[in-house]
Amino acid sequence: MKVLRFSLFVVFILSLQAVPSFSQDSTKVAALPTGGEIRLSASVDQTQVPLNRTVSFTVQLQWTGDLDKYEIHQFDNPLLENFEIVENSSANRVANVNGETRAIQEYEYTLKPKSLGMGYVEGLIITYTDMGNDKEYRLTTNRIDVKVTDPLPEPGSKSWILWVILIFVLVIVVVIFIRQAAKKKAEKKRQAELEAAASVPLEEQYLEKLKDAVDLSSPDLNVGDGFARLSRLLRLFLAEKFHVAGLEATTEDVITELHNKDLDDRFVSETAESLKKADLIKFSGGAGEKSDLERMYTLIESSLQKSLRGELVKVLDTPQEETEEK
Amino acid sequence: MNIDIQAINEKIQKESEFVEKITSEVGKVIVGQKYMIERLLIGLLADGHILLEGVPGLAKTMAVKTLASVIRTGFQRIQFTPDLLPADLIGTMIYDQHDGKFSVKKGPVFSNLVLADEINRSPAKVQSALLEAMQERQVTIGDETFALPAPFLVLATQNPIEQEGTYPLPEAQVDRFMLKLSVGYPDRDEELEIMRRMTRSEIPSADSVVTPKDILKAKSAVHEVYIDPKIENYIIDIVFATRKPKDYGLDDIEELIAYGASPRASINLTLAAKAHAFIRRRGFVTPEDVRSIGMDVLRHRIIVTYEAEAEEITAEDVVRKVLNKIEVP
Repeated sequence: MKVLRFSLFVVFILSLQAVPSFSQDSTKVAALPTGGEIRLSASVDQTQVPLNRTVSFTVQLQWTGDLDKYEIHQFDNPLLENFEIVENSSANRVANVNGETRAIQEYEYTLKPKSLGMGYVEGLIITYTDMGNDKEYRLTTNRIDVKVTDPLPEPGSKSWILWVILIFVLVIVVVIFIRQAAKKKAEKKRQAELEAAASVPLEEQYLEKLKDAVDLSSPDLNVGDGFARLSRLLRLFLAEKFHVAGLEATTEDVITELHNKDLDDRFVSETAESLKKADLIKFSGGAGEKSDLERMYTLIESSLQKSLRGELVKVLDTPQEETEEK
Repeated sequence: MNIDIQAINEKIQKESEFVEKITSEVGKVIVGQKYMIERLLIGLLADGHILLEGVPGLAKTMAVKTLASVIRTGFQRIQFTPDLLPADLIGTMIYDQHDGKFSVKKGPVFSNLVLADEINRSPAKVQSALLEAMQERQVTIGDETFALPAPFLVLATQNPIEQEGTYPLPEAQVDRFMLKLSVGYPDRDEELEIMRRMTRSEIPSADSVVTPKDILKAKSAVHEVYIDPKIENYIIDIVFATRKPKDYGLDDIEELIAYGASPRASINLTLAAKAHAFIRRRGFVTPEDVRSIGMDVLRHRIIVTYEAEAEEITAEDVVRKVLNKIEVP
């Protein structure tokens, strides 16, 4: 008899808990149909929860028909291991699914873990009365396990790193700003200098440079060096004034280019004489005569002065004059 | 220093007197081609060999032949063909049946002026035999080594067209030529003159005005031509600009050069510039000499990248950019 009663009890329990075994998913559902009309489910929103966060445990009952078809009896809070309830709430609602009315009762518990390791929500037993036949039934949910993991860093806990980064970024921005400002200032200064230089005719600038390049009255005058300086100065002037490859072309090429530019023949021949003389001194290893250097200086000076008076260009001036007359 | 230069100048003036005689005698036969004749003289005086690229019919053979007759020296023309053997060039050992001994039969390379016509028509072993003779100025046949006569100038020609069935000279071999000339067509007036001269019953000929001894004396005078350290640095700048263009503000050609000019370029540019100054009858080198000869010394020593080839940029374009960018001293 004892065996029969035990067997009946086992069958009853099995029929009551005819649920599949849960996997460790975030959502665990325990559903038990009674007469195929009422379902119970229990789930957690996550299977792992950091120690300093909470997990939601939801118990849902739903059946087809009106809310008052069954009376759900008051039940105790679920038994918890390594969790504590920080909040709970319940809600009733009625939904229309595929043309039939479905009543839903929902109980939600917010659980906070106590320590690292595993936490458990024990099975919940819910009793209810079918108002149709006034009979009482029971439903049980499965035990649900949740892993409690290391706490997440709290916002603001390492704020000093953020501050360091912010200060670093700020410093970079300030440095960039200062550099940009300095660059702008230098550019402005350069522009101003250029504008100032532009207001002084090129020839006058080169006359000044000529004075600085060679001091003929100096007792320490290096004649050979003087030829090299004057030659370079003359080539720079030709490059800037007449757009010839003054520094890259050979003397012959420079003279040919000047001839092609229809410049005053005397100027071209004097330039050729100066450059050739300088080449001779520069490349033959000779020291050169001071009188030759003085002559070259004078020739360059007079060419610059002629250029200043507009006496160098013979062809280019003519159409300008004609235009002015017209 | 000044006195030395004067002495050098005087010596050069004296030793270079024959240059005008040569050009005027060669001019009796060859119309135009002043550039080629001048470079032939530079090769002869600076002990450098010349690779000549030009289409057929530009008087390449005639120019060398005429030059040989003007300086009264030996001349040999070797037509390079695919079946030519090194022995055909340098010579071989012949068995004498009467004596029962081997005797040396010297090849055509034993001459003063050697024209290697269409050098790229023969395989590498023949090219190497000639190029080795050019470099060493001696040839070994059997157990004996024979010095080549002096002056010794090899003028090799290459046809820029018809590349099928040819054996292009390897870059390392091309570097052995002091100059690579690119000979172009004569202009209209020159062509008219050529036509008139060559259709007369009497073909013009040049007289012998110089002896090989004069050339050898001139060669030693060329070595005495003064080259200022400023010019030496200018040459180094040019050569280095082909290797590290960015350092010379030539960023745009950095990607175009696979290999820059070798140290042989610096040596040959210096020698050729000295010879150029000599034929201009000057005792010192100017940037003009370097610029004039720069293209011929460098054009075969720079290897451009595939990118440059794709953009149809040649080694000549690269050299031109370098020469136009580097500041003259």
